[in-house]
Amino acid sequence: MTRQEYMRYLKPKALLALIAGYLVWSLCFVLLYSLLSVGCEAGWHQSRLLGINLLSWLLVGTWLLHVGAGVWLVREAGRREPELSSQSGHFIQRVTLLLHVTALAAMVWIGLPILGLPPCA
Amino acid sequence: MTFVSQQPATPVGRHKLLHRDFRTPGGIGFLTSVNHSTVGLRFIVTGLAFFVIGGILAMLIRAQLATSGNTFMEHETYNQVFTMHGTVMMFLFAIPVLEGLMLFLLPKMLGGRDMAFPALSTYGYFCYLFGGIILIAALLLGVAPRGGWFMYTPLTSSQYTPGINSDVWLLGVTFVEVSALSAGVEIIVTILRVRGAGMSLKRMPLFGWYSLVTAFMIIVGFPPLILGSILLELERAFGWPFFDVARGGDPLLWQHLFWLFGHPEVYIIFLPAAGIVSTLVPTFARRPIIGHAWIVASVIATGFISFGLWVHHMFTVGIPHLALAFFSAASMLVAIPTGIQFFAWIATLMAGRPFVRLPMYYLFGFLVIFVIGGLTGVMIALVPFNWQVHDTHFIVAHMHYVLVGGMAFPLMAGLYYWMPMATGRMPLERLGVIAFWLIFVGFNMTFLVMHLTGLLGMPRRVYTYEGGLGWDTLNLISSMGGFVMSVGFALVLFDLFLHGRLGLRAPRNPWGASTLEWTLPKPPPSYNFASLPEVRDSEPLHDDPDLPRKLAAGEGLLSEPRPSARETFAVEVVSGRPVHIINLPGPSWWPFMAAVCTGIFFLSFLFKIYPLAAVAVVLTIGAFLGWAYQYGLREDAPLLSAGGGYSLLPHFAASAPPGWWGMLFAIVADATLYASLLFGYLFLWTVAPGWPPPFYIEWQPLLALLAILGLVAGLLCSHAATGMTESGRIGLAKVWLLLSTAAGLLAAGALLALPWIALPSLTSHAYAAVTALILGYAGLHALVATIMSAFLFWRAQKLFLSAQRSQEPRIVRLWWGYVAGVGFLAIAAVYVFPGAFG
Repeated sequence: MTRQEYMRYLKPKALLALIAGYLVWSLCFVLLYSLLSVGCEAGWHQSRLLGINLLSWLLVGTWLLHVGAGVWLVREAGRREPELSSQSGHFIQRVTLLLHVTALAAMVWIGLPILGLPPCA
Repeated sequence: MTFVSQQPATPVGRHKLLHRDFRTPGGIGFLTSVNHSTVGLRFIVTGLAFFVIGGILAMLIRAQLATSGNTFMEHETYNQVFTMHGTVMMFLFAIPVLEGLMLFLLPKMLGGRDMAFPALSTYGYFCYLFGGIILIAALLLGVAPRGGWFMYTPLTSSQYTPGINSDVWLLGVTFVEVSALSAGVEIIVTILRVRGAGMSLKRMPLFGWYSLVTAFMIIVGFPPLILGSILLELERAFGWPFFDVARGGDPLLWQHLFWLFGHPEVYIIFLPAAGIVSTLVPTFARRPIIGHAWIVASVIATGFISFGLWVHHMFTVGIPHLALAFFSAASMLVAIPTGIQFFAWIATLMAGRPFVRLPMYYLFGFLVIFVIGGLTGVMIALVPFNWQVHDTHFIVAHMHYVLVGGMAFPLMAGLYYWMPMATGRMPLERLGVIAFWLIFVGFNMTFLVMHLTGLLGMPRRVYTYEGGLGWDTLNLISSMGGFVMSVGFALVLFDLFLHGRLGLRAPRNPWGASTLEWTLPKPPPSYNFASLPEVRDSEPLHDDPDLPRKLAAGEGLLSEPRPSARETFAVEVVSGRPVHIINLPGPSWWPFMAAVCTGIFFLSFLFKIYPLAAVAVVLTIGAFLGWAYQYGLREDAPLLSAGGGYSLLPHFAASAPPGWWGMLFAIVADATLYASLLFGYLFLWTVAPGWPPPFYIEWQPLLALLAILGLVAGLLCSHAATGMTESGRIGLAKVWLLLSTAAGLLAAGALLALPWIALPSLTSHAYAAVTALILGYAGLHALVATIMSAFLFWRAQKLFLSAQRSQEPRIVRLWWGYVAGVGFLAIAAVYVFPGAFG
């Protein structure tokens, strides 16, 4: 058995797909917090674009980008046929879909304060 | 390919053969045992011993606070007592006991004969034991840590705690954490790869899912604290100023690193306990659990979200409101997956035909107490309320509701439930029920009223208080409750010892459970399964009630033991199909010796004998190499028959054996530590006062180029060595291994030389210290890669490598890939970042 055959056999991708939604959530969370810290330090909130400060634009953009990725993951997970035509494959697919949907909701939830609060106050 | 058939054996003969290989040696040889049941029980018993110590400290605290103006203890002693109470309960009791339970149970539940790396468990156990002894010895000698279990700087810095008190905590706890990390890697690889045939992820018991998520949280959650401890110890020992504001440091960095660990830690403790609940509820409800997939998803979601909460411990330190809102939102969010699990448990109990036995009392206690703790958790997730009750006894009450309710009660339920697995006897129900009510009533007496004490403004960590503030009666009730609870816990421990003589002999499946561990005799033999089960259902014992007899009669797989082979299956991750046979290690002195050498390192650092610490590092590396050398084959392996139509290769001949996976997850832990270091660098740069620094690292193009060259060459040579080994050209592989050794030396030398040549004194500013550490970290990793390449060359000389046995070069290549990434990042961080942001 070659290494490629072996890795396909192990299906590690199924496990990565399982947590992909929450990996995006984690990335979103870390980026929002980091951008806020760096942006406040660098004074990005003092520049304005269309009446709104630059840092808030950046935060909203980052947030929406991740929410978009979350939506894509949910659509993919809903569409995909299980790679493993077994009970296990169906189970993993179901849990994956559940995780992606909840991760998307969690992403929307944690970003909502950006719309209502000034960034560096 | 030749087939090696197995020798026929009778059940008694099979038992003798298997027991001879798996048993724990007697006499002094007990130190060499690697058997998971033995090591797991050692963790549990040692953890319970520390629980007694932590409990005595709690009683001292309650005695002191029972009345106002009490002179029972003076403040210095009180500081040490409450610090050690928290430290012992968190680091020496809660986590190790749960690790012990996982080590003890997982192979039995998953259908294997041992964990993936049994010797690693042994090493971890001794690290835990020695680290715990250091901490307790310091307490007895009056030099225990005294800065609170979270050790905030600057209180714990050398200016305000000049003795060895803080060092004891930093080094002792880090020593214990080595054990947690090794257990984390061990548990992940075991659950993913070392299960019974057909034990797919769908069929895997929920306890396995909880343990898997917990283990991932351990390897990602612990490194930030280990880094924090390293930084604070470097500051205390050598004056590198990471937290000293006057020299560019920031105490808040400690708080971030501590709580990056500290909040996930709550879930690291809670999740295995919830796994116990999810295992016991269907058994006592006499029906399968409702919402299996939802529970699995909830556990995974909890694992992730719990890493987004750490700043809620720092709401009062002056962080922008929007950042507080992020963490407040995540803190509220985490209640949802926990709530889903609660509803699933309640629904299962409602839909089933529950019967009440002793473990169920503790489950009810858990449901009540943890819900209250969860609700007060949502209250303090709200920033304005948090500000009001911060550092008051309200927080102490909340924390105990969560930790005692969420961990101690399920743990008691689990201990009673699985007691027959350890002793072969049933618990004493009547005594256990009395103990439960004492604990339940005592607990609520202690901590329910403590919410009020906190709301009335009593701060934490004060050794005494004035009368007439409305706190006297409440404190007296709390103290009385504390002693009632202590009597209850004493009865539990009494029961644990007593039932060994008075308890009824346990039948094979006393609770009517469905999981595999109940197919075993009570207590189980050293090798667990005489023959390994082929799992066809998520409730194997209900699916086939005759399974225990069949397995004992050798009607399962791997039923004919090969001498000294200690075999179990490695399976495909998702489906549980066996892919090769693992030859488990037998008793060995190496893990014990490695732990002793590691202990010498920590002790010599504690007593500031740094040359001895350097010697201890060399000895520890030597012990690890000696340990690693004993495994492997010097000739190619034939296919082995496993019964049931399976003919498989041993894991030495597999492409991605458990060792490769172990390295992968060790790298994940290591990378988390490195990411935390880079976070610290960024944090200091953006937040700390005294930045930008008064100087920058000097540009040294030659050294930087040599470092990059060494890293690239090492990685490429390691790839080439792997390729040559896979194609059977071992002579050429050895050449590439020698070259990668040389490249590693070059990279390590350049990376380690850079801080000394290109930076001024490392004690002058946090910038110099953190820059040196980033480079030093990369340099040390390159040094490890050098040692690994050289070791592999030696293994090749000794005929351990061939086209079939090419797993070791692949493992080293994986490490080289990581080292190269770390090195490039280090150079970019110290040279590119200042240019871009300075």
